[in-house]
Amino acid sequence: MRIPAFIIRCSIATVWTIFLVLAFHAFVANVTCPWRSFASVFYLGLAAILVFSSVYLIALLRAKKDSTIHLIAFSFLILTLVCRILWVRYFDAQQVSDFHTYWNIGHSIVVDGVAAQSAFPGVYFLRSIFYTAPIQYIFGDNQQALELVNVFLVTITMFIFYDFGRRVFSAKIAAGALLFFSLSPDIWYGVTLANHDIAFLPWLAGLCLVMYWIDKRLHDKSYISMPIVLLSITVGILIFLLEVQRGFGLAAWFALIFLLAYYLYNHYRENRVNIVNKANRARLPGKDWLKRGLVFILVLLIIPLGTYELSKSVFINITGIWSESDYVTYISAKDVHGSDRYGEMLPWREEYSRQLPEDLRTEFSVRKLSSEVSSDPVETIRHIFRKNGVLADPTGTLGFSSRPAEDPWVGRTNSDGVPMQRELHKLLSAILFFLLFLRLLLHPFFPIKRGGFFLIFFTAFLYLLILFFTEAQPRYSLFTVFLTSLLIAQLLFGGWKLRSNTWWNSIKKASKSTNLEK
Amino acid sequence: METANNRSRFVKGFKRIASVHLVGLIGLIIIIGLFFAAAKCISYTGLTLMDMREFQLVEEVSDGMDQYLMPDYVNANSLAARYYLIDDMAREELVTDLAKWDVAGSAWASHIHNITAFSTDNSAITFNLPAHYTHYYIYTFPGSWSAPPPGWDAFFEGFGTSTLVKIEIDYILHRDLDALKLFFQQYNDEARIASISWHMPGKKGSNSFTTTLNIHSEAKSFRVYMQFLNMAQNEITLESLKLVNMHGYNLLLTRIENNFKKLSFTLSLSGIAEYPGFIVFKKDIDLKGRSDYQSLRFFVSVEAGELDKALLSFLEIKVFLDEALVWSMPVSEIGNPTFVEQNIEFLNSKELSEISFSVGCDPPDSATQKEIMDQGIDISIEYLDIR
Repeated sequence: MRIPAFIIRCSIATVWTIFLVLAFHAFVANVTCPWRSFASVFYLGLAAILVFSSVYLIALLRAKKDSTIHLIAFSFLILTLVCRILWVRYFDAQQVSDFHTYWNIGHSIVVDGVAAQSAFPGVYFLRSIFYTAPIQYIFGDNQQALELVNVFLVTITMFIFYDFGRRVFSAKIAAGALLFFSLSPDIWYGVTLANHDIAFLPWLAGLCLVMYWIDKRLHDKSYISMPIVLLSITVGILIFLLEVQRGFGLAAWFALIFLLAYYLYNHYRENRVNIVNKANRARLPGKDWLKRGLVFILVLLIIPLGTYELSKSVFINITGIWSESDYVTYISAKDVHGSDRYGEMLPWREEYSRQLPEDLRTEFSVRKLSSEVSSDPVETIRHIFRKNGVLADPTGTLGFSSRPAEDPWVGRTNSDGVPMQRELHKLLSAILFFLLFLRLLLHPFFPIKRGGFFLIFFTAFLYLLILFFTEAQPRYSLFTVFLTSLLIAQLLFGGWKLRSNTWWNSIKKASKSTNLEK
Repeated sequence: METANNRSRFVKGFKRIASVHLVGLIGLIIIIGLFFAAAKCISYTGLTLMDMREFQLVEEVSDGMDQYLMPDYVNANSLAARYYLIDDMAREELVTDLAKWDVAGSAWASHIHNITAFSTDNSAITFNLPAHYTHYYIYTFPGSWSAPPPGWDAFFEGFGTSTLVKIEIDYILHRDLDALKLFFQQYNDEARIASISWHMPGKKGSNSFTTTLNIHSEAKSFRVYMQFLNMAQNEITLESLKLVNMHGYNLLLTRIENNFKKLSFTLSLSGIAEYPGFIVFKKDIDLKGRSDYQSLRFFVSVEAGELDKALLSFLEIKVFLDEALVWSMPVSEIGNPTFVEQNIEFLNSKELSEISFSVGCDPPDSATQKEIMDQGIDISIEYLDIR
């Protein structure tokens, strides 16, 4: 085995094991009060969810043709749409915390114009300009309209997600993933809020689908074509929207760079094998490798980056507003004795770092950060697990959406039986995290097509970014829901494959041949 | 054959899983090992801030002061000890002596009737202690234990004027006791409001016991109880039982909490702040990677709750590098938080070895005397850096 390939494989196995440990910890974190949770099995809602999920999964298991699966998935999509409409018809939410700000800034953009927003922190403007502002512009100050738009965004997301899933995995896995996606409580509770996380979902689903198309075209054809360029431009625009809506541009760029490195390495390896076979001796790959490598770099990095920067400068020219973060100060707010919750990081950001002289700020912040991370390594590791526990908590958005109504236009809020709902979701999450753990444990049986690598890289980088550097909130688990849903569905419907052979078919083949021998 | 084939494929599959995760596990262990090694290396490069865990509490008081480091009830991780700085000159005997027959002979009563008190020379009270299979008491100021003692006002004139009282007892036992406890109960005008007890030595011969207790802000009177477990005929002679008002203590350290980036503690101020004393935290300086140090930096915060900070102007925080005072500021001027950057270039001629933070007050003139009752002040010193 050659050394680079060996190191890469070991690294991938290590990263996989890290996520395996985190998934198990997330499972444990959600069964910390098992007796109360098990008691909630008798809760009608949980029973209904389990019965319905079982019926849906059995129907999928029994479906033979893709057309049948599409029909089942489409029916499920319509059913969840209807349920969500009923949900937002029945429940409102008091807009609290930042959601209140997004709603108000959306209103202010419509009434006072963009120029008046420069007095506020740029991040609030960015998150409102493509979300609450258009809603208020079209529908006015109407919370019901906001909720219906959220439902529409979730449905669009599910549709794109299904299309992506069926292409990269299979229709059955994609349909199964729709169920697990829908079990995410943040989506249900989030639709009643001016929740920028909901507005972020379709952009991410769209980016994953576009990346699948790019991957397909890049590997089907060896030359650059107009459709690939257009898709590449779309990637740049979608990353711009991810950055504006949620500030996750960095994770997307990391994922793209990693994907590019993988393409280049993979292409080099394949090319090298061909040359070795041809000439019967090892030598460096030639012009073709360089040409293809340049195409990869152009499509995956240069065009998207150019589009992103162009979009950004056009946006800044028009609005005059952008959110420039001081990353060092932001990251140095880490507190390893806590779990990097908002309130724990706020004093450093707002009170301490601002007292530092300008020329000293970066240096002192770096020293503070290095102290945090290295002064007590055991505490740092415990801190990471505490953060993982926070991220595994499924009740973040429930906490925000269940506050009693204060504003007169807010109707009935989901404020009753909140502890019961919390435990119900914890139990459901425990089940899902255990399935995810199993899926990660058995990963050699479940190959993933290259078209899904962007989603994997993006989710992994984003999760590690949050885990190691940024603030943690329970509702952030929403950002991993695409990948985890697909992986869990793959565990149930993926067929157990080992390397390129279908494991189950191999067993069948073996038994047939044995019968013939007999 | 079929079963064997299936089994071999299962074994193959699970061997693959095991090998992948074994490699992953080894990788994980290597990463954790590298992380620990990197953490160690970083701490040697001087890239980190000073470790605040190594600060030790020391006492520094002026002449004529008594010090008490008194272990208190420890019911929270953060509660370390109560630390009293007491001016010994300011002691005031509250009760002349409860053990003097001529003063307090009739003030004593017993729980059971066959205890008699007698005196030979009026200088002490002696009680016969009968053998008894359960606990029994002698106590001061007859009456219902749950109600304040009636008719002993002369004894309580000075009681309650201080928030701290010191109890000093000297006694002689004829033979060993099975158990001996002292109870102190406090009363307001209507009922008992506080009770505390201590085990005392019960060996034959001369014994003494001293303790300090907080006085309830509403307390007007008290009772002292001695509880005996005594299986044989015995005698106790009380040579001295004094309650002393401890005036002039000014700082009580009620909480210390520190981790690698923060040293925080709570000072409780009480009484008249006219007596000098400092609570000091010291640590050795490890100047690894900081050979060209020029400045001292840290954040200091003072949280005084509802107390007007201006009242704390007599308190100062001082920083010493070795013996040299490099920074000081009245507590009243410190915000929440305040960044301090102090040039220490003048100290470059020698190697620094120790840093200390002191909080307290120098002897003030009478014009600045303040009376502050039971106010907790949270002080934090964070992110200390010498660069």
